[in-house]
Amino acid sequence: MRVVSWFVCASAVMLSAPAASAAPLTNPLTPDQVTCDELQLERVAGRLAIVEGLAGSGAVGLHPSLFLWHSSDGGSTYSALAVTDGIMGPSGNLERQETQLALDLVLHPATDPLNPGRPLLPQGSLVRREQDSNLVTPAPLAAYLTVTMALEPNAQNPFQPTIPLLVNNLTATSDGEPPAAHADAAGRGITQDNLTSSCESALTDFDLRIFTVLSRTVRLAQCALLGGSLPSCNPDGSAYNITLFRGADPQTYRANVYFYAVDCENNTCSYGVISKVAWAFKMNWDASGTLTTGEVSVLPPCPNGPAPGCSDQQGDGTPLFILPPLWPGHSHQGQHVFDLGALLRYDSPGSPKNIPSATVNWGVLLANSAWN
Amino acid sequence: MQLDGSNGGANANEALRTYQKLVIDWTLDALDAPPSTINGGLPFDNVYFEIANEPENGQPLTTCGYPTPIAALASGVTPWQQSMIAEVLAYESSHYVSPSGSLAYGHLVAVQPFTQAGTTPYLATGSGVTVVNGHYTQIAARVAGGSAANPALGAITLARTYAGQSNIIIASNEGKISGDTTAFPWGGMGETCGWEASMRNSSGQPTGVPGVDCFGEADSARAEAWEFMLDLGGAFDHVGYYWNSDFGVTIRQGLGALRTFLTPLPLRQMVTSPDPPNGNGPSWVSIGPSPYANPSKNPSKYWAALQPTSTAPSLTYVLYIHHSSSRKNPTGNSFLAFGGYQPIFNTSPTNPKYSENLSLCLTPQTQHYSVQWLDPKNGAVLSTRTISGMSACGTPTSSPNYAYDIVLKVSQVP
Repeated sequence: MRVVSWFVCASAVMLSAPAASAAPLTNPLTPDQVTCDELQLERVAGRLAIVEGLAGSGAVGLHPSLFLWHSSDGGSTYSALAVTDGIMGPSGNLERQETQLALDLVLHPATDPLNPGRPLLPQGSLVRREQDSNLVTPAPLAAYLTVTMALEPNAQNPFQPTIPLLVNNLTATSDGEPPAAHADAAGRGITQDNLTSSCESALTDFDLRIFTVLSRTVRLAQCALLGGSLPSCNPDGSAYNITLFRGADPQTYRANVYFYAVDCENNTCSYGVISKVAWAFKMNWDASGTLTTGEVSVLPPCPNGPAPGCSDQQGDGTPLFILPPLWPGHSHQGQHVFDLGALLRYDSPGSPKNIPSATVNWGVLLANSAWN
Repeated sequence: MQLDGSNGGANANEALRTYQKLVIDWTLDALDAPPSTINGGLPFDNVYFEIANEPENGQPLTTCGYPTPIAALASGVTPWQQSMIAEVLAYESSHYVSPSGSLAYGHLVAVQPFTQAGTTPYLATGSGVTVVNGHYTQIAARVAGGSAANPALGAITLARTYAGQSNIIIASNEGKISGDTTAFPWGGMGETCGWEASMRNSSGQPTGVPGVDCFGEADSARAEAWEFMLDLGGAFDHVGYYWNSDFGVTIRQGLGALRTFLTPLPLRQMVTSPDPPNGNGPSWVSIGPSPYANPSKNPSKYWAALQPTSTAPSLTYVLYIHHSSSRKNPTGNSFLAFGGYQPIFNTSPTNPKYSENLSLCLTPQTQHYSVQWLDPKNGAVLSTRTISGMSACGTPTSSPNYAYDIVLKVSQVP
């Protein structure tokens, strides 16, 4: 249904679009609007955590990713896509296979509880989109995903929230975790972090389509054994939240990669973002809205500490792949598919490991999909 | 602790370095030329120096009201370390090494990195460093100031990465710390720390969470030690808070059994068995990839293995297996920054039901192979069988039932 609706929307826009210009499919944003979107998504992402478990073993330290973007031009609804840590293998023999959990997040600034004696409270709902998710029967070693969100004020650790939203893609209990298709909770963190206001009203259906395409084509792979990598991957459960939003230019999209982890010493756990790397996608499309080519580049390090519109001085060096979309849980991709895509990496300023920019042939990457 | 925001480096804290070097000089004086009442006035020849313990710190804490220091990263630590190493080498050489003194050679010098960037400066010949010490099984990147491009390395991951290099010794000198359940229930720590198991059964085995031992026990220490040494680590030093505790005694006995096992092995003729990421594990035994290589396929059966070099005159193969999860916090959701092994007994220690049915593919030779399964706790031989040396490829071998860990040794015999 979702794919069909994109086409309907895209087609409707296409009919009214001037033949020689791609601009009408999207709107320019002001730098302030971009910054507002970036920071709002960052605040939501800071409350979200993802864990990949294996049935029968629980969490084993894999490195899943969670993509997050506004699902409308209002501020209070978000889409999210959780994907397993699915790229492995040495350089020249890379493989990708993954499963995914698609989510809708709706945040309300105030809802009325059943008891009229209780005050209106901010509330959040996290819902699994079952048609778009791999639902996992917990057979031994089946990979499943758990997404948690902290709604409490001053959330310290989204892996272990005190007011949680928790959704997974299990169909039956695994490792003590029951299946959770949806979750609701009231928490003042929603309003404290201003997660429901709207930064702009300029997003188009075409923008939403691009966000979805990016969520299905951009992948982080800490355990891909590329040149200079070690022969072991640290199974520490560190994970990635990737926020997707528009840039000011009508053809520019942004992806901030937040690499984070929780570490415990005895019974004290500490959550933290290790690094933020900001990527810019310049997308080109033809008059009909068909994506053609593009460029991806890392935004330069922030000169004065963490700030919007730039990367941290120290990146994490995780390889970022741009690959054709995959039918998760059904197909896998080999090196020949990786050869079609792009590989980027940001470690630190001047690092020889950096691959700061690349061109992307979106026409090729999406050729076998129904999305272009 | 860095309070000046400089992250060390060539120009940082120079005034303090003068005094630090004096401490080094005094230490060398004390150990290389002790007074006659200590060690008979002879130099201590059974020590090596370490510059320094856990110098990399990606998450320094504030103390005593001082501002939180910035992270001490390898880029700043290394220049300081190298200046201290140079002082050790220069002072000892000029004062105590022949012809300036009685020592034939200077003492070995070690470093103790937490990251790849903190390790690689010392891998080359001429760095002045002979020993690289690791801690724990693995280290979380965040606490070490590491990243995906600069991975954090615990002792196990350090050995898996670098122990094959001929010019460096990889050692482990701090693992999961054990306490004392005799004098201090749960090692003096709260039970919720998971520090020790809360109860013992009639056989003296820990019975904490049903079916899952707590970490810090002798089993955990033994797994670290065996795996590390069969990754070709060169030295292992478990850390316990109480030397004479029940755990301390048990762990030392276990390490003794490990030493007894290793001593007769032709280690110079052996190399670690390959375990590449996403690979299939070693070719000589069908154990498959370890959790370090493919946790999706094998999340809990850890192993380390040695096999003969291509030119080995005698053929010996060794495989150590243990069933563990990486240490997690009490809720079981989050990994501890300093990794260790939390044993998983499949039933209970007294009702062992793990077993292995493996296929061997050994180097063809005209003699025979002895196939032994051993108990790593005490080195006891659990089963022995002799197979042909000519057609060994595909030969099955089945282990006895075991509770947590087991050793397979295959050696060429007449």
